[in-house]
Amino acid sequence: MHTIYQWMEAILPFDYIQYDFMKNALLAVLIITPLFGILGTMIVNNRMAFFSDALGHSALTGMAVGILFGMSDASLSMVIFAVAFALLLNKIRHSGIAANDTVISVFSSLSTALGLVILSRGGSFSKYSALLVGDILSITPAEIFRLLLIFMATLLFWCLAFNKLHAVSLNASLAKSKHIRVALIDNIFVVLIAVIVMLSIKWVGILIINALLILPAAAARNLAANMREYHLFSVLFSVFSGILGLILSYYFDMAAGPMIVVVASLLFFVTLAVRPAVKV
Amino acid sequence: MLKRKLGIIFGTMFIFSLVSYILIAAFGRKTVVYGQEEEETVLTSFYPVFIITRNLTQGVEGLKVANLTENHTGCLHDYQLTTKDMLLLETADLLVINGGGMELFIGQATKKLTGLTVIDSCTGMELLAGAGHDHNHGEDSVHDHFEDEPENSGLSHEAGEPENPGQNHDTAESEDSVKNHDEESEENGHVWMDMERYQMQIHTIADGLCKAFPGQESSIRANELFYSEKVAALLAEYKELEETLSGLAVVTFHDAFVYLCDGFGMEVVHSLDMDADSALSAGELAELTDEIRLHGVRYLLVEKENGDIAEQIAQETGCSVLCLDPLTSGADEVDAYLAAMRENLEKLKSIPH
Repeated sequence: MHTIYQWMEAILPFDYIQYDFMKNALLAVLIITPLFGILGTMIVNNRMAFFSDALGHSALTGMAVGILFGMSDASLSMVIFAVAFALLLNKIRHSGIAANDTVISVFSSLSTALGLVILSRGGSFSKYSALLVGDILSITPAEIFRLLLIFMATLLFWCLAFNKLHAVSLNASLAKSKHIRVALIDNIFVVLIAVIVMLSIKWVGILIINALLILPAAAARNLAANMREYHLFSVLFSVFSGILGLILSYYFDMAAGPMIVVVASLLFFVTLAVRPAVKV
Repeated sequence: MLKRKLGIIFGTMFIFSLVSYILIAAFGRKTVVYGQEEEETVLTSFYPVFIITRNLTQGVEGLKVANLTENHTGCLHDYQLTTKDMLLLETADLLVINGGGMELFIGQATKKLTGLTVIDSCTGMELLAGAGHDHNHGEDSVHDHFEDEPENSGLSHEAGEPENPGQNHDTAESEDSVKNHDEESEENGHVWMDMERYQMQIHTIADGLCKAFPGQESSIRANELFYSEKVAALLAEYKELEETLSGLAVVTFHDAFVYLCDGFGMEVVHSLDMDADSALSAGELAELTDEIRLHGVRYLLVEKENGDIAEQIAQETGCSVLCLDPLTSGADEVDAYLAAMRENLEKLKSIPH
């Protein structure tokens, strides 16, 4: 870690970099944002924006369950709960019982409410309200390492299974006829989203984590003509808004997560404006 | 085509960066090079300890006091560190915290700052249980307070004698009932509202400062004596009220007032921590009304901000609302604590015999 710090100090001639907490935050941003950029492309393609939003909200219940069972590390219970939640939601989503957005909305509200009910017992919700906005400045090297692992796992999954995932996303029946295990691929994908959302929610915050997943991909989609461009632009937008947002938050004393989202939103509007000129 | 798009993207990013750069240059934080000044920075976590530390370091050369949270932040239940706070933490030589679970937000940050010395002003002090974090708001809370009350108030009267607060540290530590500070959350950290405990805080912080800056010991000790005497003078006035107020049944709407009542030997029938931002549930409200009637409570001690719900309860039960200052925030003046506590005293005097 120390070597990385030294490198960063050598490469980046800015005064904010002399502080370890800024180095950690910058490293975290450099891992989280490309990850979100990549995942976001498929979330936007599959029209799962609302799905990932619901997943984010389930963090509250995940944490509450962890506390009920007296787990010392709430992030473990959050991940377990979110994975179960994602798989269940995915199952219902595909069973076609009710309109998709209705089902998701019901689950999203339920998991939020359940979390609030448990966490607000005895009026002590305020202890957990940090989860709502997130705090990237308090990230530690061990947690960065954990993020790095999941980043590599995602890259691996993307390299091995992207074509299949894409096929499923385009047309599930067609994919099935090509002997692609649709359910498995889809489930791995939602589990991946669940794990990533839960591991980064402490730093980004429940209220805005979805924006970070969706905005860069949505902006990229405005410009991209093919999958390669789509991914490239999405990652570019994501990393750029992450870094600029963090730096702005440093100089203006504002929360980093929301600032990143503001930058990403502005980028989105720019791409929306230039879209007619680029997309023929 | 891709080149053109990339051109647009990088162009946009460049413009964004440029605008940001201009904004930062115009309005952003000016680069301050900390650590190169002659002065040592003593950082305090929030208002009450800030005021104590300011008093103790008044006129002491080479010491500068900075408060981590703004003076108007108030209680820190859901406070989050900003980049500015992190900067202060990284550059400070000494951090003074109130302790007693008040500074949950610092926990993560200090873990990383191994070189920073922390003075916990509640060290060795017996703390009362917190209401806001009390998970059993049910029927038994009434009995809890009954049992707690005489024991606690008795202890604070004997142990917190202003003349020898230092001695108390050892005795209090050996008590079984002393709660471990690291357990956090279950305890009530608003100790400054009990002036005897406040004096212990002054002493503990002074000890810590002297240890950290041995060269300044004499002036810090002189300040300690000066300030303690002022506090003791006001405390004496408070003591005059003790006879009137002892045993008076009240409901408190802020954890801070529990300590105020403890100092007087008042009976806290029920304490709510309205400072934590969750609303009262209908059941809690009903239960509270019943308790007020049962124990013949005549006064509700509230902070300005949550007077509304108290007014409701007062109308329902016929109690009076007494609006006091919990001193979680205030002016940046050395005598702000004394002034606010005097104001509280005047209001308490309005309670008839």
